[in-house]
Amino acid sequence: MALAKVFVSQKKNEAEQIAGSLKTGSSKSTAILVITMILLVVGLANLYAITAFSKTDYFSGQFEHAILGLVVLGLVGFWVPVRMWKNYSLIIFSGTIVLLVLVDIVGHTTMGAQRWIGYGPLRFQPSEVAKIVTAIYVATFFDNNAQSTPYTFMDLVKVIAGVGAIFGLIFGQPDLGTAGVCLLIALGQVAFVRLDRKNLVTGILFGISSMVVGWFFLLHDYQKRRILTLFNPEHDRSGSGYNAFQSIVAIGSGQYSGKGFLQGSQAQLQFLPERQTDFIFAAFAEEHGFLGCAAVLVLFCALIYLALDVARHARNTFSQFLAIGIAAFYLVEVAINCGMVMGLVPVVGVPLPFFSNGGSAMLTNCLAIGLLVSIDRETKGNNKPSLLGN
Amino acid sequence: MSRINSRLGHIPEERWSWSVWFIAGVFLVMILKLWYLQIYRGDFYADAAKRNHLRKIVIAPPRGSIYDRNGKPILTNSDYYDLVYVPQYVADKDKTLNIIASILHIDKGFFEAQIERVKGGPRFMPITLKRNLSLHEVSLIKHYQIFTPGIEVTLVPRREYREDTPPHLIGYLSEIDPAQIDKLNVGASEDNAYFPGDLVGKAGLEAKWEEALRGTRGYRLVQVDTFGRESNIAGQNWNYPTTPAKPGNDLVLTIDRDIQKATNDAFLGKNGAVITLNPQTGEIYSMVSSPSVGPDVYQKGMSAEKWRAYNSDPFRPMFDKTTGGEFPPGSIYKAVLALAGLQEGVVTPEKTFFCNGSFEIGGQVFHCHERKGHGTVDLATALMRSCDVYFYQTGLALGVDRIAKYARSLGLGERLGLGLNFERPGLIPTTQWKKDTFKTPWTVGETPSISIGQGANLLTPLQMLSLYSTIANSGHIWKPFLVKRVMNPRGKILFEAKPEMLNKTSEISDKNFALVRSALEGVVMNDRGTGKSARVPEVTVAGKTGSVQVVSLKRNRNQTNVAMKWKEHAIFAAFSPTENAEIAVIVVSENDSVGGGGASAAPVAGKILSAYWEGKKAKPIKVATTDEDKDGTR
Repeated sequence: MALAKVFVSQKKNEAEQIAGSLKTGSSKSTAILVITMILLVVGLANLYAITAFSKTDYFSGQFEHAILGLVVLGLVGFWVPVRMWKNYSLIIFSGTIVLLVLVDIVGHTTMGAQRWIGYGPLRFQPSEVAKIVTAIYVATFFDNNAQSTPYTFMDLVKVIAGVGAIFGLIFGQPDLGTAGVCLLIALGQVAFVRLDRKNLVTGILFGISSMVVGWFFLLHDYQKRRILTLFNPEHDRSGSGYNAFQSIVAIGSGQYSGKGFLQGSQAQLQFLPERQTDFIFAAFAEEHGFLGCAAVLVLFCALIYLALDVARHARNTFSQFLAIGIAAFYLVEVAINCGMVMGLVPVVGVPLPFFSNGGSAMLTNCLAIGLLVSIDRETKGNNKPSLLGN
Repeated sequence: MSRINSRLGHIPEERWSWSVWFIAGVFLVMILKLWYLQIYRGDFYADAAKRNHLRKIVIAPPRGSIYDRNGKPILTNSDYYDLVYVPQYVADKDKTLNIIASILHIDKGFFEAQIERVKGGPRFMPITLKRNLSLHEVSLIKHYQIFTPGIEVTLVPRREYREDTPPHLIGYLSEIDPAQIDKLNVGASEDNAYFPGDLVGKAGLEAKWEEALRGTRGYRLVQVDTFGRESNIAGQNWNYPTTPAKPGNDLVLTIDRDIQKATNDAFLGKNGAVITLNPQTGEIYSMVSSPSVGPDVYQKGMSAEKWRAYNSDPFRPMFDKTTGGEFPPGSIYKAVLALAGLQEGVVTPEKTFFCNGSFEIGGQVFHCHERKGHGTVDLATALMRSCDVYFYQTGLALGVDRIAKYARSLGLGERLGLGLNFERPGLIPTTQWKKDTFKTPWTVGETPSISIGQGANLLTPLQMLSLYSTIANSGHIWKPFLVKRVMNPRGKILFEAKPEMLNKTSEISDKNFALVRSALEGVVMNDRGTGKSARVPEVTVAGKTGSVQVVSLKRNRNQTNVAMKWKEHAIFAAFSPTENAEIAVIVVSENDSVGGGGASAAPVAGKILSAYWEGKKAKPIKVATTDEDKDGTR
């Protein structure tokens, strides 16, 4: 009898455990996927609206990229185990470096910067994927070099060198925005480990001095102008000031609930520069007002919170730091892009995830979501034996 | 939460809550800023957007100019004023149109029709209401502009047609139609897309070189006041960025303006086509199709009535006959027979036929144009005096298919690839062609007509000219071309044409070409030759006359009392000098009222050739060089 009771209760426990894990395991991933789909659909509809009268058809291309992105999301999220990314991280990292070097040699030029690589109609922007590769690289480092004492500068040399290489190559294209995003993702990940105090202070001092050097020797004139414009909008009215002013007029004129779908005059009349890429949030704000903007920002905020939650519960250091990197990736892109159109940060070329037109960016965004789902499923132990072994 | 793996250890627990606070802070700042812009200052920005004081003004690019081979202008631009209507800025459409209608004395319905035509387009797209305003009209419109917001005057560079602009060659521009917009805008970026109302090349070089000529439009941002007038208040004016228009590329033609003028003058009053070219390269010196409709007529817009009148004119003024007109070549085709006969051994320079004025085969009688007969004729005399009987017999001995073989080897029966207007391939009949087209076999009675260039034979004037330049240079068939080079506005050469040889006739020997050339020289230089009125001082000319019967008229052989449309076509093909010819000319005069090839067409050619040689004496003509020339190996 007693034995039977124990057996029954054991079975019951197991059943509860499985049911419980399924419930909790699917709910976080489900939430992430639902938010992603909403952002994707709203982003596509918005791109359609603001380029409806444009001579160039941005929408169909972006639609195809979104479909391709969802396929990538599915494969990465439900098929490739997370460990794969760690095991192959060296190959992924060096492959990206090779691609970035190739871009400098044979890349296509748009708007004065070499960012594209490709053959025929297939074009690809390696610097977009480099953002996720940075996260993978840093996560691999911390997984391999776990230590209970604070990290000193010497401990982190490998990270600094790797991220520095990516940053330098992208900065040289020149693409300050993307290079900055890569750097900030890595900083976001490093912020989660203990650092040696003395080294930290020295590092900050070094950072400040390198910014001074960068200002005088590395930044292009147009980039300096944009930064100056931020602090003093009167500084240059003709160039950067014009963009910022038109962008703010577009956002402000959206008021409480916006002018309505297809009705944004600032964007439709082409007062708004780069309205299909960097300034797309301003066009969205004009048509959908405070309510629409707040809703989108809340969704992004929830997505980033969920990413951090996935990180917190992850099973191993690699997964943890990768999820942190992805949270940092979305936070940095949303904060810089939205902040820039509202006049909070300088105008740099950073796309708004799921909104800005661009195939490489769309694929990168979907890849990141796929990784999050994959990590969450690993945590819940739902990973089926994979075809790829391990 | 219980699943947090404490063995991971090196993430301090407090970092998680720090990061959540940090994220919340970032988003809070953004939401606050949005609230400030959209709610707190929303009215201000809404107003700013509504009266957005910026207008995006389109700057139309000047179309590329066209120059002759010596850099003399053939077609350039000058500035015109257009009346433009921008729907989004118009307060009261009826009132605005009423004012404009009364200023310009034009019916309001005319403007309404213009607006109706592009209905459904975006409201910021300007609509052109009237082109080419006078300065007086411009000042009136400017004066009343405060009452007519949305009405603007734009400066547009437009074609300045000269009196001697060759109409068919240059072609014309006209407003793009909606179907063409959709077709041309595939894959176009915003800056070089076509808008409704844009002018586009519809014929001639303007159409063929549209891409090179059109240029890229620019934009200018201006600040305007509430009345739509450009304002320039100190301190409020931003120094707005301007995208300048990029002018189209210039064409340098192979045409020589002086020869073109001489050609035009010599052919004045006749209908048909005249072309001259360099037989050593294929460069076209002049090209005239007559009658014609001036390009300015198209640009101003043609009334339905006028169009009907042009369309029902039997001489088809809207049609380019140089490349598209197909005519029976008549006696100038005898050169092909002579070459074929010599090559095949059917005739020799010494062999003679007897011409008694007619020739009979299969019960059918074929007359010679000289009813009394030419007597005993050899090849040189037969060409010189254009004896039909000689060539009836040569043709019969060769047979239609052998004639066709040699005609084809000389580049006839297919397009030469000038690609201008509607170039036609012509027709060289064969037994197979007869079988395919009429389902009946070739009868031997058809061959004599073919042998003297009548019957089913059809050649375009350009092909006739190519035939004679091929004879002049012993079998090299050069692709005729018109555009020597394309230059961007800064003078950088984007495209440089090189003479292109389509084929070198291998079927006919140089010796036989030389024999025929000297016989053709007799046509002009001999006192008994049919083409003697094409002579020019000091230089030899070789050529051949042709007179094509339009209908067989037994009674009116002397062509005195025949209705215009039944008159003969007068044709003359020539090159000069006989050896190493520098210029070849073809004259095709449709239904000529003066007479046949010798009487009417040959003098035209003579005038053009003497103008060429006189001009050359004054200034040497530069001709395009081939690669071999440059290498000095030829």
